Amino acid sequence: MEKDAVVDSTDVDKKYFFKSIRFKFICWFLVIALVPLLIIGTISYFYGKKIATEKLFDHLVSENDLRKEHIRIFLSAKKGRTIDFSSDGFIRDITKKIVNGIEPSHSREKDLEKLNDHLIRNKVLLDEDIIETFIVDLNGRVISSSNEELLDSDVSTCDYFQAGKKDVYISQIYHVPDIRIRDRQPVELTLSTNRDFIAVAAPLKEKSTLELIGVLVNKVDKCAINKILNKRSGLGETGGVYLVNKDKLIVTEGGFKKGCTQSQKIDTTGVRDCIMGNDGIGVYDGCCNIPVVGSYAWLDEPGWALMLEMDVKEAFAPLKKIRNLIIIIAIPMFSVIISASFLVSRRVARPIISISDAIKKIASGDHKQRVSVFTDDELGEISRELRKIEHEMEESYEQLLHSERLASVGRIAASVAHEVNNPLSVLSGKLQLLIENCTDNALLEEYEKLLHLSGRIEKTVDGLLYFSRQKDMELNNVNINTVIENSISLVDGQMTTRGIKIVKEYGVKLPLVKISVSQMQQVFLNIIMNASDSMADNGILTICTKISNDGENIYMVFEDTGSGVSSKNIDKIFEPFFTTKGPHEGTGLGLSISYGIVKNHKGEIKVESREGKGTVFTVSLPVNTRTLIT
Amino acid sequence: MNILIVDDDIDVQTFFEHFLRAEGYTVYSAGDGREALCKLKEEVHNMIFLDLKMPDLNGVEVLMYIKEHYPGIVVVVITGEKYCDKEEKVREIGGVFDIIHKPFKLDTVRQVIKDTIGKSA
Repeated sequence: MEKDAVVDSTDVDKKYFFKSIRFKFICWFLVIALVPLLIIGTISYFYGKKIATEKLFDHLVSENDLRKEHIRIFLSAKKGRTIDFSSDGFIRDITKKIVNGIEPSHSREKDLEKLNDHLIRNKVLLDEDIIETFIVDLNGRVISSSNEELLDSDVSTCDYFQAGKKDVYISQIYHVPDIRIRDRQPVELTLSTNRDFIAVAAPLKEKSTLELIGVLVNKVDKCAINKILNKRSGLGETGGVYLVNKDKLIVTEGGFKKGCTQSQKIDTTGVRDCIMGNDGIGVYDGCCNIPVVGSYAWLDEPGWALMLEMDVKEAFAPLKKIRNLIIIIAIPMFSVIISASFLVSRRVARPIISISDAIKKIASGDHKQRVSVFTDDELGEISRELRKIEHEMEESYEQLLHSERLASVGRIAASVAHEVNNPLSVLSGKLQLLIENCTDNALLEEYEKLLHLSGRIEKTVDGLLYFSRQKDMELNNVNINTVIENSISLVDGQMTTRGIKIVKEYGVKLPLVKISVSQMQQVFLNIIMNASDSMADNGILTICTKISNDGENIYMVFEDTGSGVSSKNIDKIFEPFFTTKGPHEGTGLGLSISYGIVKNHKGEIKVESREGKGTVFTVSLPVNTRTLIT
Repeated sequence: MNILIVDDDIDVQTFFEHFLRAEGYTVYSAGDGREALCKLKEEVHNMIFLDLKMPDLNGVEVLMYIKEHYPGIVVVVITGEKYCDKEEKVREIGGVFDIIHKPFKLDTVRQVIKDTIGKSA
């Protein structure tokens, strides 16, 4: 049975899987389990991404701000240093003397020597970032320098000279090789050193009149700036910091691992936004079109864009890690959920499928079907109820079969009886004539025997007709005890003679039943006579009447201590012509007639028997009138 | 006295004829209802033994016809059926002198005829 159910359910799975309850269970389970998981996974991923991005941006911005501040302080320190130099009294005095040219040439030479010496000893050495210091007169000629090679060179075209006349000025970065190649600056300027520099210039003024007498210029080593920019801390593997000037040219060696080089023109979103004077951060294509996360800050003086960029791949590597982690967790989780949904749905659907199969089988007429669900939940309850229904159906089906069989037997009997009656009347008529006209005594005896036989046929036919009659009965409300008592009185003498004892256990206050008294009496007589015939002398017949618990039926129970009926015969006991008695003792119609009578009264007659122990006949009749007798 | 036997069973019919003729009556017989009506037209009958179950016109229909057209004829229904509604129906229609069930005792038939004569006399 269990095995069958499994085979059946797999068949069903194959054919109607997508319509089956199991498929629906799987779908629901997956929806319930996966949707929240997907939602939580997605939310946590994007939330994590946001947090990580914010953190990254904050980090990059603060790194860039740090450098910006550092550069600003550095430049302002160099500016301060230059102002400090330009306000040196000794320098101012000597320069004024030289510029005015009022001294004799020998003392001028001396002054120059003193000034140069002063610049070397007291100024350049003060600051390691300063490569050289020189003083330019108002014509743009270097009149004094810490580097002798620069003396007398003309810097009148230089921006620092022009701007330095007016105020303290920080120049752009001068690239030595570029100068040479492009020939934009006088070659002499580069002779002293091959190092890139920033020129910081300050006007030299006469002490009392504040009249402009020259310009003091400090060449600051660009390496100092590079040092600031190239601090590797917080930049990861691919991060880099570089400066871009207003012309979008890269002015430092850059801190990049790959791609851009110094003096290359760069036109990225970040640079464009930054040279408009804005600070910010964003993801954009950096140099060489590599996507980067860039933080940029604008330095007003001397007009630099400070770019800190990091390869997107590296910047968002933690996010990738989070994503991979989610996938690694999710895949086994999903497979567990899916297999669990299959298992759970199978478990839940199995009893339902089993019940459904059982119902289908019952519907197709298999009343012997048994549902095999033994759980203590609602399904188990359904199963139990179904088993009850099955049992009842089986019983009523058996009863139906039985009464159907009896009814068809009745119909056949009626037509047979009717057909028999015609020849029988001729036979009996002719016999009667023969008897009337017979003078021979021997023959007469034979004729009378024949007439007696014909009488037996007549009796049988009459019984058959009675069994199958469809006539309405005359019904009266009576006390069933009285009817039984009357029936007993008809056979009382016979019973007493045989020593059969009748025990009466009549129920009191029984409601009246609406019955045909004569017919019911015939039923009781039949049962009593059957009991009497089955019992040896000194048997006991117990007759008991009672009302059912629900008060809707009256039961009459006839229990004898007779020979009983074998289980082989018990099913046939109500069939016409069935008899265990000898050929001259019974027609086999008594009980089938009784059956018909009780059925006509909408009642039931049942028999239980144990061979050798006795038989119990139970007649039940519906109570129609609730009149109680006292 | 003319007696008409109406029965679809030829054996019953023949037996009745012989028996009643032996009793001294003039007997006619018919195998079904239609034939019976023809016989009634041909001859004046005092009495009819009428079977109920017949092909074509059945006993009940014949009875209704006789009651309407020949109210003077004594009708005795002789039937093989028992415990059924037909008998009651016949009684409802009325005009039936007696009902005899097959198989019958010859004396019963004799008595019925005697009673009939007594009645008509």
